[in-house]
Amino acid sequence: MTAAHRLSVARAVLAGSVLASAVLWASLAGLAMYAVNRMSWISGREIGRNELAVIAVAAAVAALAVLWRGRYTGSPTRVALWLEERVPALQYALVTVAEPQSAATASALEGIIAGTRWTAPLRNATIRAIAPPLGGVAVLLSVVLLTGLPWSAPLAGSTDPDGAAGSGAGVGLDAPSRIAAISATIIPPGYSGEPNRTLDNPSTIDALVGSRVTVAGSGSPHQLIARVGAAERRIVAGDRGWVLQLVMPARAQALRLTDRVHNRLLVLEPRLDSVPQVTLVHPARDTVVRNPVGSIALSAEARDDFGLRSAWLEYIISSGEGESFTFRSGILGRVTFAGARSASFRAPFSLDSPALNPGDIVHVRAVARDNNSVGGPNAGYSQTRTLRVPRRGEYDSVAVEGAPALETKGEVSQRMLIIVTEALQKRRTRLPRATVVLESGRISQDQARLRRRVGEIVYARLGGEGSAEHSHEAEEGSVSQPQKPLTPAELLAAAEAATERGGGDPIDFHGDETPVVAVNRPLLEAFNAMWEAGRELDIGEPDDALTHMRAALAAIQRARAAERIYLRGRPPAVVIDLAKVRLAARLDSIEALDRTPRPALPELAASRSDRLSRMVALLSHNAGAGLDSLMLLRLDAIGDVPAFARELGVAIETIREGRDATDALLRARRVVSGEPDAQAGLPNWSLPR
Amino acid sequence: MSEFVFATAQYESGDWDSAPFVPPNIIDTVARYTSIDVTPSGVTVPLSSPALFRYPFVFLTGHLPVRFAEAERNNVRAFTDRGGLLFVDDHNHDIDGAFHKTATEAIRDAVGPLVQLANTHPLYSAFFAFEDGPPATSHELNGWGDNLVHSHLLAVMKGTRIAVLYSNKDYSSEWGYHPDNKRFLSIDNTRFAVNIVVYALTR
Repeated sequence: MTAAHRLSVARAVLAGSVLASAVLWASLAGLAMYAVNRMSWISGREIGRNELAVIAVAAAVAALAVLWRGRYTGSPTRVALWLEERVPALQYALVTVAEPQSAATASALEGIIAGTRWTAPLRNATIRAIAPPLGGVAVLLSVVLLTGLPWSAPLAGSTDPDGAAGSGAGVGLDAPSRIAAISATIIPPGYSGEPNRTLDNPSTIDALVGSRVTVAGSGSPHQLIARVGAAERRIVAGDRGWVLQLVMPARAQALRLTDRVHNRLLVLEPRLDSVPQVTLVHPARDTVVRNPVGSIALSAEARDDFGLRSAWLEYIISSGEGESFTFRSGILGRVTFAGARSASFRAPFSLDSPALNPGDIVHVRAVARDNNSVGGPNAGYSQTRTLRVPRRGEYDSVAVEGAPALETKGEVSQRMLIIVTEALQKRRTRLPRATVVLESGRISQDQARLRRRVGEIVYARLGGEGSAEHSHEAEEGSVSQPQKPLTPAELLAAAEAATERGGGDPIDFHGDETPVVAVNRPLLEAFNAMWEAGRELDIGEPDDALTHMRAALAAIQRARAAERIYLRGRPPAVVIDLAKVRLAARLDSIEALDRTPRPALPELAASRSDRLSRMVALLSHNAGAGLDSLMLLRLDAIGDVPAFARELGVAIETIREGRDATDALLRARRVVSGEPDAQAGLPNWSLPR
Repeated sequence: MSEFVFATAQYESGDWDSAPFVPPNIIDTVARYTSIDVTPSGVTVPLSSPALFRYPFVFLTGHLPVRFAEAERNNVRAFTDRGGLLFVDDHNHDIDGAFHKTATEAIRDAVGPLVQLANTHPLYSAFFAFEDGPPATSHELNGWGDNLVHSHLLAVMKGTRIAVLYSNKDYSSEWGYHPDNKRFLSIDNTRFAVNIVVYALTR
């Protein structure tokens, strides 16, 4: 073997060791970075493409460094020099042979080279190049095996590209999203009787509060994260993939699913079980019972969206007046239902037992409960009706329809009088004048009787007298003695007098009218119109009379439609003379401290406090604009008053979540305006001593 | 800042107008002890009316059963949600009475259950210091009504704030006199009303 040939072999050995060393160092660097990323992933951080790039760069740098260091193996002369350095016996003969222009002297040097051996340096060099990185790789693998770092999961192409369930393996970044196709199974509460439902790929899951909701998808649950609001929920492996189980909350919330870089939002929309709707059918309205004997049938109806459990009627009897009241209460007609969605129930209420006395008020209502076993049962109530036993001599009602007369007096209604008068008017041209006057006079007498009845109703109420016409009674029925009707002013004056307030100050009631006058005004108008109509009829002018008769009818109709009015609820008008009493309290019995005015806020804080006040006011009618303003204020304060900005942030989030932000806004105000200086005595709103 | 207007709640059931002199008396007291801008007379506001939201403090009293209609219940709930304070006083001063039973039920349905208010609550130091909690009324001391001196007030809390303040102590009777007669009292018995008003306006 010639020297040149031996040199080529040595060069190949060295180059091979450099290449092997580069590969091993690159592997070691890559594995080290990979292991670091594995540990980061365990702590919750996801591994992305950037981390993969870092691993590749680390491996490449390591390999390049080794190759650069071993670049001398590319040149025979440098390899010869490397050997000359380690085998001095060569005496530069090998370098000389390696020179291209030394062919003439090569044969002379073969002898020197043939007598030397360089196997040992080559072996040592190979071991030094390969052993350290090989050892590092071994150590790293040992650490990994001992600590159990998972080598599977999320790096690209590592394992399980289909994300198959049950493999226990991770999912690569390129693997398809496991939350793209999901289903939700809803199991409503048992009391509702609703069937189970399955929703495919829903964006909103609507279900009754308390329903069990199972969200499922394909693939491993590994790395899948589910949050309802801020709370994380556990996802487990199911038969065909991952499964998340929830109970439908009482308030709408967002369910956020996260699969590596994929996110999906679902709205949990609860349906509330409505309370039973209860209607008290009888009595249909508040009633005055003048003679409390016998019994009254109480009946009610109830409906519920999922089923009723029970229902009953409640009564409370309040007795007494002023400061002394006593009460009796009880339950009537309790019934139970086997989940019926609607039902009616009834019970008699005896007016004799318990005995009712004048002034007693019976408050009646119906109550029903539903079958809700989750948050209930819910109770629904009807409106309360009252049965009142009036006190003796009490006229608290201004209902204008008088009770029917015990004996008929033959009054003709105003409507009938108008019809008769219209008929007379039609025949008027065919009748002699005397006949017209005669028939018109008869109608006038009927009109006068009706007017007296109206007068009795009005004046009996006003002054307790049977009629204001008593002075004219003797003249009634005489068409030859025209009577002057009372003017509206006279009538109102009479009404004022009849309120027993004399010429004193009238009760302030809706535009300076006494309540009695206000309530009776339509009847007073009818009364006056009847006077006018009677006068026209007396002189045989039915056409002119019809105008007044129709006005009287319209007034009666208004009176008939008038609401019943109770005269309670007018507290005495006491107006405080603020200038007189302002800060005039006696403080001799009060332990008070000296007070100092609160120092003025710095200009910036005062400005922010003012802005906050205006934004809170804005929130009440324009929540969106108010929120934007709050965010701008937060932005403004975030640098110099972080506590204020933090409280504003809490308030903003609270408002966005639809909750009451009063406390957060209060804290924000206190941050910007300063805590109130609480002291045991009188604070700064009180008068100085 | 707008003036404080004392508002009395008008509800469909019961005798909401049973204590007509309480509003002027409290207005008088507020003016006597504080510099709060206050209107010289109060207003009556139906519980079912949107006008309820104009007033941060609303007084409700009566002897007879309190049963909120649907609109009243919803309005009271919104009123307290928005920061209002409803002060309910049992004018019948009887925990077995219909007012107490029905009012507590109506409040529970509308706002939430009543709980006992600690006598160290800031309400009792909001202006005057009441170290023993709510001041007793002469009606309690005379043994009228339920023959109890109630040691605590009740409240429905919204966070740290009182949304509904409920009294069995019959302040409606205690404070139900013409303010001109206050000069005959050696110690003004309406001072606690200032605390309630100040608390309502500052929390």
